[in-house]
Amino acid sequence: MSENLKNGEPDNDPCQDVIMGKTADNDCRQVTGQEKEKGSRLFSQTIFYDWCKACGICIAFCPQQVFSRNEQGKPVVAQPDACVGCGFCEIHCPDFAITITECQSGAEQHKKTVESTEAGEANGE
Amino acid sequence: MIEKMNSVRHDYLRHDKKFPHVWCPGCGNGIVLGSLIRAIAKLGLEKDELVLASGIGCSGRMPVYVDFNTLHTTHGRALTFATGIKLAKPALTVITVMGDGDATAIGGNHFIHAARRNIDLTAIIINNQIYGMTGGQYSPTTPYGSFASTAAWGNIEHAFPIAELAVTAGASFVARGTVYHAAMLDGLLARGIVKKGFSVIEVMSNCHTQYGRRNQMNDPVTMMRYFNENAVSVDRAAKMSEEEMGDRFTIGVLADVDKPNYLEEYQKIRERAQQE
Repeated sequence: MSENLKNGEPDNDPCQDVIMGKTADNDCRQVTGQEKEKGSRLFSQTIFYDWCKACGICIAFCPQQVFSRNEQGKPVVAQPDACVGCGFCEIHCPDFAITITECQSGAEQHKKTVESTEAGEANGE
Repeated sequence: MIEKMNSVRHDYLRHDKKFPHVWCPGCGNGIVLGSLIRAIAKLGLEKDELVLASGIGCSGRMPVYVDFNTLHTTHGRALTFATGIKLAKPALTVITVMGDGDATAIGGNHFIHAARRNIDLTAIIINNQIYGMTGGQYSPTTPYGSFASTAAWGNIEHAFPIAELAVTAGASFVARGTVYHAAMLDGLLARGIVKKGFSVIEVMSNCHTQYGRRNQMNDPVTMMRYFNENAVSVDRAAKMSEEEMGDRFTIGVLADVDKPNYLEEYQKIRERAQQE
């Protein structure tokens, strides 16, 4: 990652959109109270279509059949909630085009936002 | 952990190079590159401490995409350039990445002698069982009876078992992995990099474009299933008879020995000579 990108400044990095996840396929949804009680974990799947070459490894080997194939042969997230976060697709993607991240519950997200805001204010002063 | 892996991967890639990379869809080289990056990140090595040298072939493109000190050398000579770097700057961690043709055909002599001398290098040999870039000619690792563009009636030569060859030649650490077992490969690469002395990690990789297409495995998924079904761990292989093994190959650590490496010995000689 370039220095500029780390500092959050715009530069002419052609892959910036990809890194920032602007091509994200499936946004993280919040874990509901009922799901939290059950202890179920949710994952979001981000596919960088600019880098994907439609080899089909992720679609074929996903143990939960999360992905289906679109007309270009590239993966589409069909069942996001079925994902167990094993990371097989992520480590076997030859093109670094898939990222799996764990979704956080509403409270965790709120905490994180508060913390980052506080840190930002502290730095500002 | 998964989130960390993602951020790590992009920290080590050169984003000003053209992505997506040059390899075919589903090529194992990309998986090996990902694995190498995760291993390096796990060890916490700095980018400036690392050198990645490669020879010629599809695997030779690998240093182009990573933000280390990189060297793209002549055919088969990745190890000779790496030896020079290591002797000049022993503090650097030097890794070479070679293909099967690169390491065992044109660079075969360099390979066995680097293992014999036990120089502190890590050699990653991506074995796709064919010369992929030049048009699918059979290589020293093409299995007996397989088809290639220069073996239209089946290959009549026998394949080199690279890992076993390295064990016999005297390498300190020898392991074999596959692109299907990528998580295991992370660990093998990390152990190889840490090991003082010559370490060889042979990675069985898929070339469905040149090898698979001529051998009824014309897509990456079929080839990866083949690796899954035919890889036997070292422990299990010890209990299996020769008939049961058949054409299967062992994966895991084949050799891990401690013995004096070339750099240590060379340093001792220098000190002795200075005293006299």
